[in-house]
Amino acid sequence: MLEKRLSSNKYIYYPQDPFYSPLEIQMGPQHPSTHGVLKLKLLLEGEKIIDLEPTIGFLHRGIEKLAENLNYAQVLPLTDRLDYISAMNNNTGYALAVERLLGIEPPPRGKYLRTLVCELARISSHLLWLATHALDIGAMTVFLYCFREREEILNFFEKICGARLTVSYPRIGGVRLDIEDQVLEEIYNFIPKMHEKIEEYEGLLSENRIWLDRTVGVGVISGEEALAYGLTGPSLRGSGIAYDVRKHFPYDAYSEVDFEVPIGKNGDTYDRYWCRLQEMRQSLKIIKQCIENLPEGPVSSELSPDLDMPLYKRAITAESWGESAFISFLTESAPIVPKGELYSAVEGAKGELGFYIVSDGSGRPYRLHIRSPSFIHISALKKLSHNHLIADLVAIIGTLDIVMGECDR
Amino acid sequence: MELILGKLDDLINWARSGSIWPVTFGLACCAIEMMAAGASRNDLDRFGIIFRASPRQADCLIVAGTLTYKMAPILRRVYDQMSYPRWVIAMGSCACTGGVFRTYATVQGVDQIVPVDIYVPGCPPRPEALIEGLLELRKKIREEKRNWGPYARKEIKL
Repeated sequence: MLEKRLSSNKYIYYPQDPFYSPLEIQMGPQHPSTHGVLKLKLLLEGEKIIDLEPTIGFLHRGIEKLAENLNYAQVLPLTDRLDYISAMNNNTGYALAVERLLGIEPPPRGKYLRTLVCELARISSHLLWLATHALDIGAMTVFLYCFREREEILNFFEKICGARLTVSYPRIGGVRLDIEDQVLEEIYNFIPKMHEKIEEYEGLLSENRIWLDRTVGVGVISGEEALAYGLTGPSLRGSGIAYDVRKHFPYDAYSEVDFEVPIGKNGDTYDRYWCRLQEMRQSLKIIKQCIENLPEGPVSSELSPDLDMPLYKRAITAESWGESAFISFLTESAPIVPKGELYSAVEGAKGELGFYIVSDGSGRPYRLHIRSPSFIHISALKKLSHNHLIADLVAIIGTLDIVMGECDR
Repeated sequence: MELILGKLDDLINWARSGSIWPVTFGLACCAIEMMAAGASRNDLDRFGIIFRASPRQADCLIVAGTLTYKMAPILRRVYDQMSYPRWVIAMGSCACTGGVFRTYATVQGVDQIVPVDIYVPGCPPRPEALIEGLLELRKKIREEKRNWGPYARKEIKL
C-alpha cells in the first residue's frame, strides 16, 4: 500500500508515450496574481512547469516617446507612472539624472528631504509587496495589516505634497516645498510604531508552517546566476550579493547616513522575503537619522529649470530690408543643456532604476531610456519557475516584485 | 399590474444595489487605489462590494488604469463574459479620456470599447472618489425600470 502511494506521487514522464503531450495554458493578462497585466504562456507536464514564456507590453503607454516631446521639467510627472508604488524613487532617479546632466547640486536640506521621502516610499512599496505576496499565497490577514500601515505613510505623503501615489515631490534641483515641522514630528513618532508592526508581520509569517512550506526552496537562484540575469535590488541580495546603489554609488544624503545592506543566503523566496523585511527596518533607521540631522536652509536649487524651458537659446539679428525691418534667427543657436549622453541609477524599491538620457543641446531629451528592474526581473521567471509546480508560480511572480507600469513603460 | 411591476422593480433594484460585485480588472496605478479602497481603511465590504476574480460572477467592471490597444480586446472579452445585468465604471483619467498619455499606444477613453456608466476622474482617484462613484452607481441602479427577466432583453418588447 505504501509502495503504491509513493510510486503514484512520483510523476513519470514517458516521451515515447504516443498519448503524451504537454499541456499548454495561458495565464493572464487578466489574472489577479500576475500583478498587473502580465501574460504567461505555460507548458505543463502534469502540474509541473517545463517551459514558460512571458508576454509583456499590455501596459505600454509610450512614456519614453512622450518624453521626447516634453522639456526636461515636464517629463518628471510621467516618471510617477512608471513604478507607481514608489513614485518618490522614480522622481528622484530622473531628477538626479537631469541634475548630473545640467551640473546642478541640490542644497543639503533638499538632499536630506529627498532621502527621507524615498525611504518612506520604499517602506510603502515593500508593504504593498508583502500584502499582495501574502495574499497570493493565501494569508489574508497580512494584506489587511499591511494596508493599515501603508495608509498612514500615504497620509504623510498627502501632508507633504498633497498627493497619495503620483507625488512629483522631488524636483530637478531639490524638492518642491519644505516639510512642516509638525509633519516631521509625526513621521518621527511613526518610526517606533512601525518597528512594532514589522515584528507583528514577522510573527504572522516568519515561523508560519504554511508560509515556510510555500516559500523555502521555491524559486532558488544562485548569486552568479542572479548577476548573469541582471537581477538587482532585494531579488539579488536574497542570493547573497550585497550590491546596493545606495552603498556603492551613493547619491543624495545616503553617503552621510549609516545603514546596513541585509543579504540572504539561499536565494529562495523566503530569503528574499526576509531581506525585504530587514530593508524596511534599515529604511526606518535612515528616516530617523534624516530627521535628526536635517540641515536648515533652502530646499531647492536656484538653478533648477523652469517648466517653460525654451528649446534653444536663440540669437536674433535685425537688419533693414527695404522699408520694413527684417528679423532673422541665427541658424547657429546655443544649446541650453550640455550635449552628450548620461546614465544615472538609483536604488528603487524593486532594484536598480536607471535613466539614460541622450541630449542634443535642446530643452528636450533627444532620447530617454529607462532601465526598469521589473523588465529585467521578468526575464528570470523562466529560470526561477523551471520544474516547479504551477501553484508555486504565483509565489515566484510575487517574490520578484514586478510592476507592469515600469516594465512596459 | 403596473403597481406590482413597479414594486418588483424596487425590490430587484434594492437587492442588486446592495451587492455590487465588481470584477478585478486592475491595469495600472488606479488598481493600487482600488485595492486600497477594498482594504482595511476604506472597507468596501460594508457596502456589500466584494471583489471577484471571475467575470462570470460579477455585476460591475471597474476599469482601473490605462487601457492600451493591446489590452483592448481582452477588456472587451471580459466585458462580454459578464452576465446580465452589468455596469462599467471607468476609474481614472486614463480610463475616462486617455489622460496624459496621448500616444500611439493608448486608447483615448474606454468608452470606445465598452459602454461606461460612471466616470471617476483623478490621476489616480482617491479611494473616497471611487466609493463616491460606486455610490452613484448604486443610485443609478435604484432608478432603473424593467431591467430584469424578459424585459432586460432589448429585442423583446412587452
